[in-house]
Amino acid sequence: MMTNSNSEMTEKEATIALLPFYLSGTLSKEETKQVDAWLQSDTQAGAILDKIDQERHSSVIANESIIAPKTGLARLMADVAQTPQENTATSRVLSSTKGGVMAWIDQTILAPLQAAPAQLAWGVCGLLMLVTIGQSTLLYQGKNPTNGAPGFELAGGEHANVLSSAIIKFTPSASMAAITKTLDEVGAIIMNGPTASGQFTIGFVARENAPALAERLTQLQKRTDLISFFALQKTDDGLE
Amino acid sequence: MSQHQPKDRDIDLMERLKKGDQSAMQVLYTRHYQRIYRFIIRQIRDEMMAEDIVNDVFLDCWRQAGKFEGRSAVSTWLTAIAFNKSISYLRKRREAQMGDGQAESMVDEADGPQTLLMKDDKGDQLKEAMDELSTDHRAVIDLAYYHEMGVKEIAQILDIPTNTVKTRLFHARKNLHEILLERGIDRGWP
Repeated sequence: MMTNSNSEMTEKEATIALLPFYLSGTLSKEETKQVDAWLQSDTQAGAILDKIDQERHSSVIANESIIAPKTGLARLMADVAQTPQENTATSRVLSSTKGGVMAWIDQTILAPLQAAPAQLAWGVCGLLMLVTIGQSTLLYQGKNPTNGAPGFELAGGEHANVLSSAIIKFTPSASMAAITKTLDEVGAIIMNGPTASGQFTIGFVARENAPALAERLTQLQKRTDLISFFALQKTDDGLE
Repeated sequence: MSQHQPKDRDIDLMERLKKGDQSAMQVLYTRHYQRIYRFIIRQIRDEMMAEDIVNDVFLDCWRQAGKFEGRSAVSTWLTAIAFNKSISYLRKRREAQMGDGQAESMVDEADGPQTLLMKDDKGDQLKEAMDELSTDHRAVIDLAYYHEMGVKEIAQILDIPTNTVKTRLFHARKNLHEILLERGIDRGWP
């Protein structure tokens, strides 16, 4: 079943080989033009691109389902404290003005300032919460039937009312206000995120029946101005 | 993923690491450990060992910070260390099993923790088929699809020419198609 990876590819196959990188936007301008031209000239192109997108969704979901244990940092820092560095200055700045918690806050709060607006807003909120209360999760209440006005609450990881969840990425131009309004409209809450790649896990709170939930999912997926990536993760209503 | 990472900040952290700033290590770890753990466990399928390897990756980063020259993104460098350590572990595990005459009882990749997680979603044959790919093919699939790395970054991580990255991913997809065909699912090729 294995295929010889050194075999020659046809011109069409060479272009198809670029598609995964085309979807992630990592191709050079020249290669992007090559793919664009092929997409316009080959009637099969759309279907092939769609298949690759399905594969991408599967890879994302498979990876996101893996949660690393949170105990690793303490172990690492204990090891670091006992491990000398190679080929570096011997001076150790253990608690200089840029060290310790302040340095951590400095880096983790300031780092997202380089990010896109949506990532920035959620990222800073998430980090502030992290600094304040450790490993709690930022949860937007939206119009949860059990709550009134929109706002934020801290959840310890239990989302009893969540019917389904999805992995989502916001577009760089999406404003926090627009994201909040849209999630509120479809009855979705942010359960986790952002990850290093800017992904969030959102949950759809139990509010209506399955057909209504399907409509809410469709409604959200149509917001391409706000959402650049959407993959349904799990559902209790068999809507996959 | 790579285009979203604050690479300049990672490089700043590396500069601090070179000066022995342990708090920079904390930030770097917090920023990257989840992604590195996922990458490792997708290769080796052993949760306990994955934790050890993640620790080794970041300890190497600490130890060898002075050797980092910034020719690649920090995330690429970390992933390359993770890949090498995973491959090295898999090789040792294979040799140990062969040495013990346990070839017949080699770890069944389909029953690894990753697959067990997948069992929650039995309907998704595509995810399970990805699990059946060889380590090399699964790595290139995950790096391109999940980690959203470009051809050059993947070439650096896997230490292969850029053209090989493209052909390897192409053939990984082809094998995925064949695995699905064996399960009676014809998505068509390519």
